[in-house]
Amino acid sequence: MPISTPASAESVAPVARKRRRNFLRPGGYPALPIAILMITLIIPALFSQWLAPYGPEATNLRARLQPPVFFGGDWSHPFGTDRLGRDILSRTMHGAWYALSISVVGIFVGVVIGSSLGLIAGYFRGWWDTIIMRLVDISLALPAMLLALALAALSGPSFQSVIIVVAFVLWAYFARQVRAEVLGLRERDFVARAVVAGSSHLAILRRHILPNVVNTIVVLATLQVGIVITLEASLSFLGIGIPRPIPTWGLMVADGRQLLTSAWWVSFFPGLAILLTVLSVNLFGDWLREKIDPKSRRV
Amino acid sequence: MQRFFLVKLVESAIALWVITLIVFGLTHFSGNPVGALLPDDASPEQVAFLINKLGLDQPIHIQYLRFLGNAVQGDFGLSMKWPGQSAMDVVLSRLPATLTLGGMAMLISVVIAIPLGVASATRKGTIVDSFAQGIALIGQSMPSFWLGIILIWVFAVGLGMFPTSGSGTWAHLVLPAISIAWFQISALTRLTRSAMLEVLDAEYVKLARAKGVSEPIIVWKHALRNAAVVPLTYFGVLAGSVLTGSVVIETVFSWPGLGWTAIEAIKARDFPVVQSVVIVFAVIFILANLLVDLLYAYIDPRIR
Amino acid sequence: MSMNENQPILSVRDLETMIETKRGEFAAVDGVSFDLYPAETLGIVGESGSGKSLTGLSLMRLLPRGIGRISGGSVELDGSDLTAIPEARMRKVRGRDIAMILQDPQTSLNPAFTIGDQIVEAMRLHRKPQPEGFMAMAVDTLRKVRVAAPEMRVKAYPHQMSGGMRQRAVGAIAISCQPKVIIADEPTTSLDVTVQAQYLRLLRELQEQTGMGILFITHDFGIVARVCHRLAVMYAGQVIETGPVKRVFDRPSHPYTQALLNSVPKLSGHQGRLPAIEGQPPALWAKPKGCRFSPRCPYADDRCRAEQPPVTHLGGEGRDRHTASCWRLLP
Repeated sequence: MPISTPASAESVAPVARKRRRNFLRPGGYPALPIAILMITLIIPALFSQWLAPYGPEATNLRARLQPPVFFGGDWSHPFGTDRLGRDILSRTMHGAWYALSISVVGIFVGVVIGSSLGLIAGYFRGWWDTIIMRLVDISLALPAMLLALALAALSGPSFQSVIIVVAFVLWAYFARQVRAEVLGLRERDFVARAVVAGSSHLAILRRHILPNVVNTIVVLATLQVGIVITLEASLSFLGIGIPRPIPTWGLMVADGRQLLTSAWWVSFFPGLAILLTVLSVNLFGDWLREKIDPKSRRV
Repeated sequence: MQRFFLVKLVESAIALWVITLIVFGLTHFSGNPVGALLPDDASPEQVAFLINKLGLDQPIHIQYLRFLGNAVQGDFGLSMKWPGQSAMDVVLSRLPATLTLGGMAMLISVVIAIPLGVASATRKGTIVDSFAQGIALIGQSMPSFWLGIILIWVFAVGLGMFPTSGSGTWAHLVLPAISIAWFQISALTRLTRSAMLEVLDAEYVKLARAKGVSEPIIVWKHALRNAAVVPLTYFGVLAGSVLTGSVVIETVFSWPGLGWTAIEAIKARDFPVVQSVVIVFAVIFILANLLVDLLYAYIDPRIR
Repeated sequence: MSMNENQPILSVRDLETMIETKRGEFAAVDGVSFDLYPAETLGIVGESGSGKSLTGLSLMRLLPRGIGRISGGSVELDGSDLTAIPEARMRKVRGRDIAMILQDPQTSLNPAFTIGDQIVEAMRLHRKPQPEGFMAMAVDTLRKVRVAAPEMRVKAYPHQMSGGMRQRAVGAIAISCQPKVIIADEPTTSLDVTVQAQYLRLLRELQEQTGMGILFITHDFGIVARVCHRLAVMYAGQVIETGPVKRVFDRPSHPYTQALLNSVPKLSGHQGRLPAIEGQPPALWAKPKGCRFSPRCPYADDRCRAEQPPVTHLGGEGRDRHTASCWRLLP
């Protein structure tokens, strides 16, 4: 059975207008710089355990608040140290690991819940559809911060509450998008043929529907990584996300808040790490979307 | 039009009701609410008294109805961190500060983003366009709390142009409002640009030109009126993210609004206040969405 | 009507319009000349890409900014050259002297404004208000295009009107300032046959009332036969034959016109779409050196391929003038 991907050739309009290559325009940037940027960020994240010069908790009270190299410091602590003499570079690298792993897990949970409900709504329609789409509308109408505040107030900062908040924010987007695609796929010939051939619902969903919505899910998920990293960092910054003493970027920025007059670098570098990471995954997401699914647009 | 309004009203009511469910559910299913409400060193008598007072010994649906009844009246109990005040009073007294900040942030973002998006679309491919796209790209990637801290570092600590934190004067408002607006500017610019690009290609824009209408009027009247629908639908989301942003930014700048209150209340385990903040946030947010739907119907006659 | 019946209202001479493509800048309108007389409909016929729509846009100076520009020739209206006047004055010409009906009247109305507002907008720019006000004038205009209950319709939004009604509203906007010329760029392609016929009849009636000249851009010979007095056949950016419809249909002189007409089943037939002739019209950047049609022409010889043919006068003067550009017409 041939399986055509969504957004197949039929949806690719011929390029009518002259398109100038532009670094700042979505779809206009070349893949290589994005790849380099991402790799330089991901490798330290994945291997922070081995690559980081110091442990994230290694204190050195004799080297407290050392400035970064070129700002009066030296190469022993390139990004400087914090109030306890911990190495900012090492902590930022470890922070990358937490930022990426938490967003991957959170997005995964959100994707699984959202896509399943979207599949059910789009495939079975009827009451399922009505109820699920109502829930989607309501969920989209609630700022994540509300849930985060409520959760934090009750159970205190924890990994679980961050994951729940992330999943809560994301599921509705995936449910809506997947449902829309499934509605379209359902009318296609190969699904109709499978139904006639007597395949079970589960088999049809797994063999014919799911493979066709995977692209959409991947693109959408990639586009969410930046949002999720920012969300996690904000929650941790507020003290209602990942609990201390885990070196998340948000917590590190919060640590440096009181030291702005004396040691700007404590807040600066973790924040810069967030900026660059989110920037590169956003660029990557835009690039991927152009590649895989030229029609869909970021909401 | 009336029917449309009615449907939206019912939807809003349902959304609000779901929030009360969530708040109630969180209080009662994740952990012991008594523990959340009392200090850690509370005596068994205090615990028993509270259980009785809150009706925790009663069936769950009775508890919920009681909660709902109180919630409708705005009664979430007494604040613990701010003794002598009801939780709702604490929250409502902080509301103006948040509305001022949020309003200012929205004003800044609209005043900057709409013209920027329009300019970017009408001068597609030029330096103006690249600049706007660059702003949008960086704005979307910069965490607002960090931007706030950088702004304090540069403009308050370094240049001494603005106070580092607190409230009271217009000068206090500038940095936090910019910090919140930053992300909105990027999102709104992007939206306005793409909506305008689409509309500027429309036949009716060509016809307007053929009628002899001047270019500024074509852009700002014919095109923007139609393109505005897209950024406008985003305003609901915008209101929500301004509120979200206010939690973070109020904390950064110690701005005594709802967000700051919420974080302080969480730290002090003042759960009635947290509940009140969540409900008030939700009401603001839902009202904003309702307003958007009405404006939407006004701008796009096809909706009516 | 004070104008001389035999004096053209619009004279286009050697009009040249350059289009920017990724391969460079090329002349998409390549030396086009024609006249339009009062109360006359001139059909500009050609395949897509022949430059007919760009000719219309050039007359209005509404070429897409940064992509197209007029690079030569003149467009004379009322003694002034439209290609030379400043943009501010050109804006006064648009809508007042030359109005336009675009390809898809269904989407030419702005969904955010009422029909009345859209008619009044043009009037406000170009006309003096009469005592009863612009809105009353808009009602009058709608009445002229046979819109039922025009007093109600001025307050309606486009989405509240039927397709045929919107058509008429677009027509009303076009005639609202009593233009001397209307450029209609395939105004009926998106319509079904009955509505199309009604619309064409309406255009003709309006023309009889006002004496305006209509430039009818189309690829449909059936429509040309029904509504046009004269026609100009365009190929690869050039007018290759022009003359009164009847004369050209009876005695087509350019091989391209002949080929087109041969494959039209009946002159009065409805389905007279331009048929396929062997080969493709040349791309902008690959135009042949000599006669543009020579690669597809069964009669082409070395001279045709080497040198562009001159315009040959085949008879008639003024409105009856018949010309074609083909070497074979020369002795």
